[in-house]
Amino acid sequence: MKKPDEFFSIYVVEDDDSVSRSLCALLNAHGYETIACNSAEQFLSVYDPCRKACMVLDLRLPGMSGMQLQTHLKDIHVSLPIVVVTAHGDVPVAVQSLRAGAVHFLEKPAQADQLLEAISSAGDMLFNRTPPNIPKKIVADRLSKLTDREHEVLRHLLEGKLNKEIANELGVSQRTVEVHRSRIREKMHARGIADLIRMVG
Amino acid sequence: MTTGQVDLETCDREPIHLIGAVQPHGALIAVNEESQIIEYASINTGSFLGSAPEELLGKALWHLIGKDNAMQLPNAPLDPSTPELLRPWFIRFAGQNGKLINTECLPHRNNGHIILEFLLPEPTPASIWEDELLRQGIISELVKPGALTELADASAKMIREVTGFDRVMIYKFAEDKHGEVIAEATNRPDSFLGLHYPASDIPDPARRHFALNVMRSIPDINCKSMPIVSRSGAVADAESDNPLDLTYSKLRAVAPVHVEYLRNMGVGASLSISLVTNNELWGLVACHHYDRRLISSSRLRFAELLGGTTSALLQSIENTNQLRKSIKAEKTAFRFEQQARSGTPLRDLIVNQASNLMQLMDAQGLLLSLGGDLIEVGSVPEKKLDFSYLRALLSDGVATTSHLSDVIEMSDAQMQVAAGAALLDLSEDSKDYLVFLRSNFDQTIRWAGKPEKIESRTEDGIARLSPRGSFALWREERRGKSRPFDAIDRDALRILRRALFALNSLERERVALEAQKISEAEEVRLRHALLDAARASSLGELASAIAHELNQPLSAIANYVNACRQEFRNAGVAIPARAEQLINEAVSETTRAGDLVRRVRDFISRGDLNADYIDLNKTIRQGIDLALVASQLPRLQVNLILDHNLPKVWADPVQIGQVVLNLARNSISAMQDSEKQVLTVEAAKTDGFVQVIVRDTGGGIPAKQQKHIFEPFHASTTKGMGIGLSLCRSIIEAHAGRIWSEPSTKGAIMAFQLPIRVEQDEKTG
Repeated sequence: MKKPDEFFSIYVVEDDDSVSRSLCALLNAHGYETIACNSAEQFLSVYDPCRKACMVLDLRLPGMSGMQLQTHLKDIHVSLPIVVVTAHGDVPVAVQSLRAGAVHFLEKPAQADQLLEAISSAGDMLFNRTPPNIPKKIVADRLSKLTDREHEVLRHLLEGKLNKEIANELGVSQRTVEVHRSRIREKMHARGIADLIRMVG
Repeated sequence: MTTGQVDLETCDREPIHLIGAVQPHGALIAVNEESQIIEYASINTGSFLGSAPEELLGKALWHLIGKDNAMQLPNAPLDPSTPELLRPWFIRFAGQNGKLINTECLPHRNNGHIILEFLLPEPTPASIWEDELLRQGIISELVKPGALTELADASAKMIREVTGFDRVMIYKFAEDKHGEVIAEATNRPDSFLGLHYPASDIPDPARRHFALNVMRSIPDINCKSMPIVSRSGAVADAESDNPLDLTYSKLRAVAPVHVEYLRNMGVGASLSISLVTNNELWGLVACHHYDRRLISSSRLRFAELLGGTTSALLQSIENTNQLRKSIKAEKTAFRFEQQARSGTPLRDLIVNQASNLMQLMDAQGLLLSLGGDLIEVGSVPEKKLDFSYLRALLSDGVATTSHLSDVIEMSDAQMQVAAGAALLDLSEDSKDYLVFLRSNFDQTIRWAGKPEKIESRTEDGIARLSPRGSFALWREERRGKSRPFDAIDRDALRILRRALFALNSLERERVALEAQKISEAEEVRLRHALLDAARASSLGELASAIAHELNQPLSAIANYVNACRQEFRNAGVAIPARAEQLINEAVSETTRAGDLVRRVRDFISRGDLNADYIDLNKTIRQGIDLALVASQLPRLQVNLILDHNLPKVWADPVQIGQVVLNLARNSISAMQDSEKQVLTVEAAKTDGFVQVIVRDTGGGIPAKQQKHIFEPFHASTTKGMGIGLSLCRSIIEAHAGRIWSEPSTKGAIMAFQLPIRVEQDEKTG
C-alpha cells in the first residue's frame, strides 16, 4: 500500500473496453486509483491539474492520437509522467513518444511486473524522485568505447531513423547497421532504444 | 611563235563565220538565190572553174555552169539538215576556154544566197571503196561495244583507218564544257589519252560552229587562205558592208587562233567531226596529221558517216549508262530496304555497303551523321568540316558541288580529299545526313600515258595553246576541285537519298515506338508492384489487425489474472500453492499467445520500408492512375492539384502509392450513385509536413463511423474486409506521419501528412 502523501491517480487512456477495465483492475489491485478515459478528448475533458497523476496511454486512439495528445500536453505545459502501452511498438514510434516525454514504452501484452515497475518509476518522477540515473561518468566511459562509426549510427538512432534510412545514409547494408546496433547496445549496457535515450538522448 | 599574238578572249567575240576567205583546196562562189546572179567569188576560181572572179561577179550562174546544171540547182537539197551530211553534186560543164571542167560541187542555201563550193573531183569512183568497207562490216564493229570508252576506241581506230591521219582523238565535253580525251588511235609514240582541256580552249563561237557545221577539214594549216570578194571588189569579211555568212561552208578559212593552236602541236593537217547528241555538242573527233593531208570527198563522207554513227551510239550508250546507274542506285536502295526490313539498323547497312556506295558515286570518301554519331569511311579530311553550309545548295534533298572550298572554308589538306561533295539529307530536322566526298580531280584521273611525254614544240617554254599548256592550265583551274557531279550522278543520288530518307524516318519512328513501349512496360511494372504490394500488405495488415485484436483480449486476460492474484493477497487470503502455479501458468500462456501472434504478424507483414527521398507528386499520380483503371464511373472528373515545388519526403513510393490508391478507391466507390462525381487530390507543403488531401462528392462518412474508420474490420464500404484504411494508417504511421478524416457535410475528406526531412548530407557532426 502506498503512503498517503505519495498517493497519485492513474489516467488510463485506452479505447478498448476490456483492456481498459483489466488495466484498471490490475492497477487498483496494486493500490492505485484509476480514471479510465476511452479517448484523448475524454482525458482532456476530465483532466484535473490539481490531482497528482500519471498516465497509461495507448498510442492508437480514435480521433486525436496518443502522440498528438502528448504533443498537445507539452504545448499547454502539462507535465504528466506517461507510460506508453501500445500494440504496435516499433522504433520510430517509440523514439517519438519517448522524445515527447513518455517515461516508459511497453508493448502489449505487457508483463504485469514491467508495467508496475514503470508506474512506480512514474510515481517517483511525480514526487521528484528522479529515477536512479546512471552517473554521467559511467555513460561517458561507455560512450568512449564506441567506434566513430558506432557513434554515427547512435546519432541516427536517437533521431528515430530506421535501419534502412541509416544504411542508405552511411552507404552500408542494413545488415551492417544491425551489427552496429547490437554492438552499441552491448557497449552501452542498454536493453533498447529507450535506455539509450535515457542515457544520452 | 608565242601565245601573245593570239588572244583567246578576243576570239570569243570574233565572228569566225565572217572570215571572208576560203582554204585553197577549193573555190567558192555565192549567187543571189532569186536572181541567180553571182555576188561573191573566192579569188582562186580561175584554177577550179576556169574563170577569174571578175569574169564571174555580176553574171548569172548559168553563164558559168551551163543552163542545164543551173536549172537543176534549185531542186538539189540545199538546206542544212541534222544530222548534216555532205551531199556532193558532181557536175561537168564547159569552161571559158572550151575545156571541160569536172568538179564536185557542195551547194547550200544561207541568208538568201546559194553558196557553191567546188572541189577537185576524185580520180576513182568512190562508191566501190565505200561498199568494200561496208562489206567488211566495219560499221557492225562499232555496234558491238557496250561501254562508252570501248566504242570511242573502236571509232577512233576506224576513223584513223579511213582517213589515214596520224592521230585520231575523241574528246568528251563535260557539263562544265571542259574536254577530256577519252579515246585515241595513233601511230605516234606519245599519247594524249586522259588529258583534260579547259573549256576556254574551244571558244563559244567555235563551239557553236562545231554544232552547226559537223565536218571541218583543214588539209594544210600553213596554206594561204583565199579571200572572197564581192561585186564591189571588196573582201567580204566582217569589216565589209556586206560580208558573206560562211557558217555552213566546208571551205571556210581557218581562224588565226585555231592555226596557232594546231601549230603549237606541230600539226600540219586537221579534220574534226562533231559528235552531236540531242542537238548538243557531246564531243569531238579530232584528227591530226603532222604533214599536209587532203583526203578524198568519199573518205570524208565515210568518216562523216562513222562520226554520225558514233554520235548515235554514244547517245544510246550514255542513255544506257544513265539508266544503268539509276538501276544500280535503285537496286542498292532496294537491297537497303530489304535488309532494313530484316532488322539491320540503317547505320550498319550504310557502313557495310560503304565501298559499294562510294564506287557507285565515284567517291573516295564517305561521312555518315546518324543519330548523333559521325561515321567516316575512305578518304576524309582529318580535321572535321561543317557540312551544314552545303545545305544552301539542297535541291530534292541532294546538294552537290565539285568545288567544296567555295562553300566551306578549308585548308589545303582538307581540299585534297574533300574537293567535291554530295550531301544527302536524311531527316526532316537536318540532323542526319550522308556525304560523299570526291578527291581533287587530277588525283582521280586514270592515265593511259605519262603526261610529261606530251609533245609540245616551243622555243621559249611551254606554249599556252598546246596540249601540255592546256592541261597545265586546266590543272590550275581545277585545283581544289573534284570530278564534277553530273546529271547521271545527281539522279542516282536522288534515288539513293529517297530510299535512305524513308528508311531513316521509319527507323526513327520505330525507335520512338520502342521507347514508348519501354516506358509503358515500366508503367505496367510499377502498377504490378503497387498491386502486389497492395495484396501483400493487405495480408500483412490482416495479420497485423488480427494480432492487434487478439493482443487486446490477451493483455486483458493477463491483467485480470494478475489483478485477481493481487486482490487475493490484498484480502490476506493465502493462495494455495497449486492455485498460485495455475495462475502463473495462465499468465505465461497469455504471454506465449502474445508472442506467437506477434511472430505470425512479423512473419507476414514486416517488409522493411523501401524508402528514398521521393517526389510525392509522381507517387500521387501513379496511385490515382491505378485507381482510375478499375473505375467504372463514366462521369468521373479528377482534379489533381499538385505543387511542383513540393519538398521531397523520405518514403516508400510503393506504400504511399498504395495509400493514395486506397483512398481514391474508397472515394470512387462512394461516388457510385452520386450525381456529381468529382475526385480532388491536393498536395501542399504545411509547417514541417507535406499534406495530401483526398476529397470526393460521395455520401460522406456517417458521424457514427467517423471515429472507427481506421480500425480494422470496420468496413464502411461493403466490399472489403475493412482493413483498407487501417492499412493506410499503418503505412503512414510507419512513415512517422499521420492520417485522419476531416468532418465534412459534402462527401468525404481524407488527409494524411508526412514529415519533411532535410537530406542528411549537409548536416553531419
